[in-house]
Amino acid sequence: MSVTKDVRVGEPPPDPLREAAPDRSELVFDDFYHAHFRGLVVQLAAYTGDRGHAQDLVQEAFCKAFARWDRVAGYDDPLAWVRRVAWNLGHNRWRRLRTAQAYLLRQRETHVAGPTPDRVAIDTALAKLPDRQRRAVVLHYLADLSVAEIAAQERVAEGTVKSWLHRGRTALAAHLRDSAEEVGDV
Amino acid sequence: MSELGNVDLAGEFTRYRETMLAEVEVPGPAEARRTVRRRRRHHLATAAAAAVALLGGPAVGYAALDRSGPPPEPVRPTPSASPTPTPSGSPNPTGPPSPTTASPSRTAPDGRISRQQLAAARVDLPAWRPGPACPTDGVRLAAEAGSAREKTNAIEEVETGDVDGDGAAETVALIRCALGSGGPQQAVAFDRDDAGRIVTVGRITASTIEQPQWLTGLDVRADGVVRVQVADLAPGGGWPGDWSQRQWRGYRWSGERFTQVEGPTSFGPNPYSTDLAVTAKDLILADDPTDGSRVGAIQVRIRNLGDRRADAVPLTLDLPVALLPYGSAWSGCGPDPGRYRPPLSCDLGPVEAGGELVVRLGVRLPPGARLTPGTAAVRGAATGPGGYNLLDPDVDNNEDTIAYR
Repeated sequence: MSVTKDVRVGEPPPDPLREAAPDRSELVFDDFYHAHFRGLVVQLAAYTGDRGHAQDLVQEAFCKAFARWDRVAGYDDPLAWVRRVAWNLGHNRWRRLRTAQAYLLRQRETHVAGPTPDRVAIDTALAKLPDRQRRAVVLHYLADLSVAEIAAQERVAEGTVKSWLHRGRTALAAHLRDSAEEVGDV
Repeated sequence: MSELGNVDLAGEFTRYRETMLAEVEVPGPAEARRTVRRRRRHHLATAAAAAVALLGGPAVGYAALDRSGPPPEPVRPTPSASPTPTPSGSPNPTGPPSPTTASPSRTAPDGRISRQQLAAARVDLPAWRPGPACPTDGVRLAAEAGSAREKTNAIEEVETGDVDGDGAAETVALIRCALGSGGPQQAVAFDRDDAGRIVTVGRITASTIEQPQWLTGLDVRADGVVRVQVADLAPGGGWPGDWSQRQWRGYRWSGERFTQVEGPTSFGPNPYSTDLAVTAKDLILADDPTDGSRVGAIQVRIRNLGDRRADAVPLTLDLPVALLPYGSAWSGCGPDPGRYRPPLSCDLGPVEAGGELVVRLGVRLPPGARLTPGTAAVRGAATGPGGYNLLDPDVDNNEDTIAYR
């Protein structure tokens, strides 16, 4: 059974570079890709604080999936496989970026289009969470994973995930309240 | 939920997801397929080398296993749970930082390979041109061209640069298979795979039997174009290399192969060239009543039909040894016109472009010597500075056949 819960967004965009006669496994892969690419990028962007890099990570994860697509397509939950690969890649990246100062600097560099104030507030609040709490919160709210599923991905006990989620949510809410009050004071 | 106060986290994240989803740029599945095909080609090209490398130790073995795709490692705060620090397909930590561009290049391995590293590895080369069997599979490259044994490959030049636009450098090398004093050459691009092994990207260009016979330089430009200096003719066999015409030609990686994108695609006529034509009249000997010998002369006409001066024209006359040079015309022919060994020869010239030269070279058949009538070849060739032979676009007219009696 499939437990792929990531939101499917939009239709596949036209792909002018697509080969004339892709084989059957490529067609299935294409559908899978389009169904989940954006959703995974949002998760990784929330976790790493860098949307451009999140796109790279997810693309790389899909490359790894395509490279062994015969097997991955046969898994019970191919999306869980791709998500875990992407998060592994993102985790390594985050370790190099995790000071809040560097994080905020990157926000300004990356999102030249001007994110909405709400998104900045969430990004800023997420950046203040410890890694594990941030992962749990993002997987819960943006990947729509259950506690059991997060526990499976993180390979920890469900009680541990509950603890991360509880502390993460509490801290996040406090940060968001603080930022809302700051905005209100201005 | 009391600890959350009045903050609606679920609602906040829903809005967060909706705004972010609209901003995500999608490279597309076709791009993923291309990336994988490129890596797979690398991988196949080094299958033999990987098999050898497997004997090297557990770390390499783990990396090779990883290529076959085990489930990914769990997300952990530290990677110490795995037997080696970098095996799980993570971004290469030594890759160049590229913080602002959004492309898959950030995880591309560093393909800078030194001449020594290249010589220490076993690599697969693109096929050599048909002919003498130069090895290609799992070969060791000699680090210096001069040290290569016959029918082995050697590195002549190494350059680095990002030739496939993946954000990391690749290495291009000029390789020669040693055959005699020369041998075919090809310019080959190498990279590293995720496990750090040297893999072959492809052939940029190669020397040919026709032209270019010689690859003389290599360069990677910042925009990824690999520039190869090619020369029309290889040196050796009496051809000085500095007479060869040189061109820089640019090649770009298309994702599948290198194709030429700039520079000339052919050579014009080499300027060290002229068309020499030699004609001669039959030799008819006549009795010399004074001593019973027989004497005669061969009239040779040399025309320079090309547009380059022939500094000299060495002429050979394939006459029977019984016929000896005779007369003053031989005096300017050089040190050994054939008096001591056949064939008779004479260095004539110069002959200017469009000019001609006519000589009458006398011969004498001593008394008592016998001569069976026959035919002989008279040949000439044009030489240039240093006494090296000029190219001649039409060698058939460099020789004439005369009868003698």
